[in-house]
Amino acid sequence: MNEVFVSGENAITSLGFTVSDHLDKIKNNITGVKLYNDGLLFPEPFYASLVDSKLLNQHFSRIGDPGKYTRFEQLMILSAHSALSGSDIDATSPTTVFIISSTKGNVDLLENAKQNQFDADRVHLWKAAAEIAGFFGNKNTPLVISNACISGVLAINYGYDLLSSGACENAVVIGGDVASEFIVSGFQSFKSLSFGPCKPFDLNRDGLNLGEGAGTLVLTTNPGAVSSGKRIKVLGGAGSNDANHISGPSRTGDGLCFAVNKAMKQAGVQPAQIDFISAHGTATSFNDEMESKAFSSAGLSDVPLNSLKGYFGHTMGGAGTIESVISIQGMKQSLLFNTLGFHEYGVPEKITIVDKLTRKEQKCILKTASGFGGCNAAVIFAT
Amino acid sequence: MLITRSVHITKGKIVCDDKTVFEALEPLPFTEFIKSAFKSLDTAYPKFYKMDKLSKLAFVASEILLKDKEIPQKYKPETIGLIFQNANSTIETDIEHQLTIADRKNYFPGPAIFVYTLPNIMLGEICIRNKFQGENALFIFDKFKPEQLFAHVSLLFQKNKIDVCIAGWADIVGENYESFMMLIEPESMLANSKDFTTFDPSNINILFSKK
Amino acid sequence: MEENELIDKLRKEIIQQLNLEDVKPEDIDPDSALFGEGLGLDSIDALEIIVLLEKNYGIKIEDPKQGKTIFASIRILAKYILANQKAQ
Repeated sequence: MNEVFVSGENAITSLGFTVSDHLDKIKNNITGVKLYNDGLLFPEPFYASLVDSKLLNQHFSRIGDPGKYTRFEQLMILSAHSALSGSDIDATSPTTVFIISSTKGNVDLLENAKQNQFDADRVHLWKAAAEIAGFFGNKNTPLVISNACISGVLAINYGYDLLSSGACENAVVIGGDVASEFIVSGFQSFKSLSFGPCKPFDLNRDGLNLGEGAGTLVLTTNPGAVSSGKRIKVLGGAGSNDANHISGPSRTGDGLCFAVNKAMKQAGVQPAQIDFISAHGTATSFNDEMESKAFSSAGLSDVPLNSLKGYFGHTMGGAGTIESVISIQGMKQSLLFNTLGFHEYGVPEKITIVDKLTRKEQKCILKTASGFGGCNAAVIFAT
Repeated sequence: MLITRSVHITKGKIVCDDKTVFEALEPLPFTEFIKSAFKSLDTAYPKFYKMDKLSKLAFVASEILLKDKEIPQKYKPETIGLIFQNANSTIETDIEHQLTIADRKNYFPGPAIFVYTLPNIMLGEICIRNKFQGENALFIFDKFKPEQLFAHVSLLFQKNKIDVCIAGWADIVGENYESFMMLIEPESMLANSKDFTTFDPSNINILFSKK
Repeated sequence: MEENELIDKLRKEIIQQLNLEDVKPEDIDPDSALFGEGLGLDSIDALEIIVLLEKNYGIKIEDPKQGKTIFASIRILAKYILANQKAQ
């Protein structure tokens, strides 16, 4: 089996367009979540983390024609472009595949005002993915995963499986979504949006903040393509289903626990070897409760854990890649980032929530996600 | 790995292995067709009526695929995987949800439609129905890709992530609907393994082309 | 509208909104627990009833937890609608 390395990363959210933009703000507890009162994405005021459209346009103009790509595609392309520029792999090579994860891609093209801006089939993820991979001159059919909010973690797992088995040499794993009216109105109808900035794992948490953005991990089997500094490997991952309810998480956490246990088995590590957990932590009442049960059942109660949702909200199909990218920086700099929004312990089982920026060396970390449809996924990174 | 059963639904007809197991007597719109197909299964499962079109299509295919196969008895829940492909995601339901928000004066988005705007919900429905708790993945391609499906499912078996897999395709746009589903089991779990087709891309293609 | 008249209307609306196939209005006992065993309703159904109240009766429920008391039975729901429509 081949070893799989992370050779380039990027994240784009309301906090900025580069990894260092994110770290500067996260280290200083600065959030990109704010109140939107302009009626554009929802008739009533709501808190969210949105990427500034003017800035996005400016950034994209430096690498391509913004008129040719949708907002979603621009985010995905910009993120991949930045990650690839920090990596030595050849995006056009036949041994490089693009793995693209998103829940809804260009669904905003269904809006009346946007219907004639692009060809009708652009609303489909396979078409959007072809545009994204095509931008980089990659000729392989892009592999698209659309599996609710675990899409990003699943895409990393899939990339790892393809590379470790020798099916290809490099994978550009991009995850992302835009916060369209389609999505905001849907989450609002579920009454799952918080009335303020979200409070993961907190006693007074009252829901999530939607976020948007994209995150990219460039994976490779070639150790020579990894720049100096701490070398990060993907050790493996796994997924599961709660088989309980299509929108509500499991009441016992058994599904997520299966995914975590299987991921540790795939990676060949024991619970005691996990130094940090980047949890999903959406700050809805049931999700955070479920996660506390799952991590405690998996024997991970004492492992420091955070949720990054307080900084840039729930970026849906982007959450898995964006949060992995940030957590990898934490490994490289031996830092655990604060769970912004968390104040008072509010979940039933014991977990160890990181409540301030903390220095800690990490050899092995776990990233998890859970989503509608009862799905869960987990992936393990190591130095 | 062997394909121990396959089911194909399209154009008013359901074929299981080589047999037509359900056929509408007259051309019916999809919603009527799938409802009568479901009723013919004689299954009490009121949740079916709450599903969107795509989930109904996949659900009926899975019920026929799994009937009497005793999968939950033979395999542990966390080792049962579901890997599907699709082209149009949930476009039918996306349009339905979009209509609820198109007019700010008549603005009533609802969770029962919105939840079905995720294509993996059909996997969740099948998992809930059968208590399957293994790997889930939903891939989107412009058309059915037997090679990718084969490669991905094989990889999951190879890495011991699954012991059995329900794999296939479910897609609907307007009145064009098609679902193709296979049950894939290891030879070691089968007493009569000679009766079944080997799981490989060319056999998937042969089965997929039988309608 | 009279309470009993509203109960009949609500039974029909709930069957339609929640896609309760094979359930007839008279099958829903106005005094039985709406979210008990009988109809097999879940959290999505509760949220759908919130949408129904807003759409058909102009009544807004911001906190879904309120639903637990308001949706106890069809009769309690009808009384709530009558009281709140009068209040508006």
